[in-house]
Amino acid sequence: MNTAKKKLTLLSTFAMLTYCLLLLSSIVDGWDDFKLGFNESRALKGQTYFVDLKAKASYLSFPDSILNLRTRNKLNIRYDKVQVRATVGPNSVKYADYYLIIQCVLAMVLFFIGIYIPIQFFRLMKSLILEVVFDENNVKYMYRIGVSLLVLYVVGFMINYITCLMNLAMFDFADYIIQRETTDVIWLLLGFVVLLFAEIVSKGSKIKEEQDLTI
Amino acid sequence: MKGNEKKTSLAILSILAGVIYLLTIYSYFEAGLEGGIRNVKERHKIEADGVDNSAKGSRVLQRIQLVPKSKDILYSDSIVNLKSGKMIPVSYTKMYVNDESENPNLLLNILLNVIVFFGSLPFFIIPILFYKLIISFYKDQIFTLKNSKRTKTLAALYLVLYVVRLGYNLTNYYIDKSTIELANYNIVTPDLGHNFLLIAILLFIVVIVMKRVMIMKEDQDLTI
Repeated sequence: MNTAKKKLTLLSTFAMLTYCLLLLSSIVDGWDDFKLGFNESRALKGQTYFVDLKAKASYLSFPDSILNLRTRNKLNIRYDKVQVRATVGPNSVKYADYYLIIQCVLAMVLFFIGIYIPIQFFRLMKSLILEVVFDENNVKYMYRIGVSLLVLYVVGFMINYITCLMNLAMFDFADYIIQRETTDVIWLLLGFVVLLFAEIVSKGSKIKEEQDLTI
Repeated sequence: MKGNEKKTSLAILSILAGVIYLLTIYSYFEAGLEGGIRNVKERHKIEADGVDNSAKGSRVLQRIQLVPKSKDILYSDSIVNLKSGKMIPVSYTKMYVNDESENPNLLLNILLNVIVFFGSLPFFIIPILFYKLIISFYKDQIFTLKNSKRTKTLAALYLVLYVVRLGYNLTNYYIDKSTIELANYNIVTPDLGHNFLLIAILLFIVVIVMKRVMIMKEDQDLTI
């Protein structure tokens, strides 16, 4: 039993550390974009649009090329994701103002969830480190995480959809199709799996309650 | 009555998780399908031309992630916007490179293929175990030794997947860095997939929780 206790504490600590690593890598990934945005706001006029591209001809076509400085050869390339710096105002798009308002609201929801999930997760892990497993609060934390993950997926999907609508209205490129950025289904799956495990822990709590009553 | 409600919600959640998992598999399959078809077509082209580039160890395709080299040149490229007819500045963040030159990293490429082969094995086993577990939950058989073993195997497979993916991405990154250098962009590390590690650890925690409930149930049954 003592080994199991140690294992749980150790695993919960590892889970917390891995989550920190996950958060850190997200921050590092986005850091360049943040710096880019900060610098460009002083250097240039206009707005940045994030556009997802797909080659128009087929998946076998590489419409662009770039010089490889190592070999001095030209490489055939196909762009996948680009940041477009354009002065095309959102006014050129029908319902642009509504899109922007919806996007702002959704971004706020995303920001809130981005803070809310780690808080619930760390509370849950802290509880497990303290050897409190079958507790009502833990079930609550799990429910909150599960529902937040589902909302995260839906909000992410909506943001990507609106962004794609705006990009389609503003841009058209010769060799590329503009497409919607895919929202990772893993968040939806994780949401349901966490809710499932919340149910399981809730059942475990019931059994523990019955056991305590029997004693 | 409350117990029945719990059973129903568990069954509904199990079905939903099963359906969403199918969707996840489909989305991974869809992404991989394009690459697979492309490779088959390339192979056909090689056979038709009678020139086999693979003998030289040529790499057909690579997806690389970029950031601008200098903060003074944030948008080093440009593209024509057909809507306005104007050239607009762009900065590329991800691109596919079709490198047909001789590959100096043949050994690394072989290592990459080995990693891909072993790494693809868990992808076939994980869905089977997942569905077995989900079906068991649907039948309201949760705290059983079989389920605990299945969850433990799932956790171990996710750990293997994490290590394999990390190895694959880092090897790829090393190959890209050693073969490609661009004027205005730096090649950066791709997503290292730490979420697989988190899933593995969480599954190990679930195993411990399951085992504890099993012990409690056993004690309870003995008392009765």
